Amino acid sequence: MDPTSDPKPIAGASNERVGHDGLVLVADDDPDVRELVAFRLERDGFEVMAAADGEAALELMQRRRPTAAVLDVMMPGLDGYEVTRRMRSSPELAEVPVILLTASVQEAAVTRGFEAGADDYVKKPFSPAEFIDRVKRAIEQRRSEPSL
Amino acid sequence: MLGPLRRSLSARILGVLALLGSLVLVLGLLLVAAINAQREAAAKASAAQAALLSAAELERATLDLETGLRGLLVSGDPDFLEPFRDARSTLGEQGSELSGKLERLGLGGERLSEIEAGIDRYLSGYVERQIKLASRDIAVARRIAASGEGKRQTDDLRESFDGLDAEITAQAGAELDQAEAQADAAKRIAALGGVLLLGLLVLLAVALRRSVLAPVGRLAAVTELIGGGDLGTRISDEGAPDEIGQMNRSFNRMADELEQALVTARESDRLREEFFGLVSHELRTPLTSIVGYVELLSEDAEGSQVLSVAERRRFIGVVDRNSRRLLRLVADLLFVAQLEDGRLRLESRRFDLALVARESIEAAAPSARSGEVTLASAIEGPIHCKGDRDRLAQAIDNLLSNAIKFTAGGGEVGLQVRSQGKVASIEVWDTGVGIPGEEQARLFERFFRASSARSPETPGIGLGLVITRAIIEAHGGALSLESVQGRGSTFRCELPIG
Repeated sequence: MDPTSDPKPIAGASNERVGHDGLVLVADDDPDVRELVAFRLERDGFEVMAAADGEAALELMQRRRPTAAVLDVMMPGLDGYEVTRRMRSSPELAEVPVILLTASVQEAAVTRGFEAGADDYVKKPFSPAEFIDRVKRAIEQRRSEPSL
Repeated sequence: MLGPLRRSLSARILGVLALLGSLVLVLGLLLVAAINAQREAAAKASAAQAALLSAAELERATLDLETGLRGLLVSGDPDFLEPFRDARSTLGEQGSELSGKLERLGLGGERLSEIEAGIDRYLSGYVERQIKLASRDIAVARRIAASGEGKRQTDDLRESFDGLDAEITAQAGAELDQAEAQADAAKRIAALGGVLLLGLLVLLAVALRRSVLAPVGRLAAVTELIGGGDLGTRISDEGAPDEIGQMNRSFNRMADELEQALVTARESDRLREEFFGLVSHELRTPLTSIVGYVELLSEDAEGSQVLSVAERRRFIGVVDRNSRRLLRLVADLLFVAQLEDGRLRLESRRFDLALVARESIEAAAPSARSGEVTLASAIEGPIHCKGDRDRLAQAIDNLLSNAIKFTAGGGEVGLQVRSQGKVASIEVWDTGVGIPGEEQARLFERFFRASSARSPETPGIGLGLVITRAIIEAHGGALSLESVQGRGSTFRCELPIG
């Protein structure tokens, strides 16, 4: 979680395609999951700002616009869907790619996520390597098609 | 009782039917009367016929008197008196027969008496005298006969007979006219009654349509809607306080019950769905950490070697903690599954409840510390009981961790355990958020989570209290709750010992 820690090269499939200069917001109420996601992002050179709930996440993003946001769906206060909706209706955060983390096995949860304006979703539990791929792909897609 | 009875629909319908029945009966009686009048008229007509016949016979007999006399006078032979003798012997009989017939016809006997007197006069005053005279001097008798005295008397009699015939005919005609008039009146009344009957039937049909068929039609329409799933539909106009109104009200009440049952069923479905969502979340969150950290550790072990020793140790700790969390959750779910199947088995061994309580306090200390909650305890002991030590420990742990979970920093949580005679009491109290009164009763329901516990920041899937109560009750004890919202809660277990 230390933003100054050196990016360490690791064996990854697609980590060369994205510059290691992004700032990623991570919001999850479970500290272990939050740290896992942050650790994996930081190892690929991202700077991470972490929040334990939706309100804190929005506050952090209003202070510093991130390159991407990783939001847990089930969070106290504002849930992941609501944070996504608010980002989409805010001029500064509308174009920030959002990756939802969902513990639900139901299709409806995925549909709800896309309806709220998410770019992608990752089902818990997930492989950290695959997760980092998804984040990078979402960022790249937004870069190539900014109007999405 | 009289009010509703008077308004009762079936009573009203029965009343109308009784009215219709009486009307039909009256009409029937009238028709019978008309028929009788006509039959009587016919009888009178035939009686008149008979009377006329009798009168004619009497007349002929009277004439036979003359015929006999004339035969005697013409021939001088007394044998020619045969018709006279025959007629005289039957005169009385024929007279009384005619009298009877006239009486039956309703005619007075004056005319007949007059005729009989005439006959008597003719018979004794003329015919018999002539016969006597003829036996002495037939020539004188013939001269008297030629004088027309006898003819005058018979003419008078003939005239009287004509008068009688006319009276009989007139009487019969009058009777017939009266009978016909009666029959006509009866027919007119019957026709009027028939129209009235028809009118009443139409009124009855209209009334039945309005007060029975139309409401039944409306009921059928509403039933159709409810059957189609529109459970909020009701019969808007329940109507009069009669049977139909009662049926409508009962129907609406039934629909209310049905709707309530459906709401309850949906609520329980919602709780179930929420429960599965929570279970999924609670299972997948520790699994995420286990899978994720294990992948980081195995990448490291397989060659990247980027983790520091401290990081490796920390990651292994995370995996360990989350595995235990998962195990606890799985155990709770299994416990509830066993409970539902009725397969809950308890051990039965002697142990010291005070010792178990002290261990629970020790186990709760770290989470109380991290929540900045003061943990107090008053445990008297030893308390020797018999039962499932681990399950009872789990129950006390659950109560303590609940109390700590719902008590903000700076608050206090306490455990008091003591025994009185054959009952041990375990009390866990806190100065936490408390539970609203209306939720207290539902608190021990499976999947139910109090409003204060419903935010996802509060871990748990609503099984803790279900499990705790099941354990206490399986030991023959009881779990009760006192709580004031915003002030705190006290859970009390009464457990039989010894």
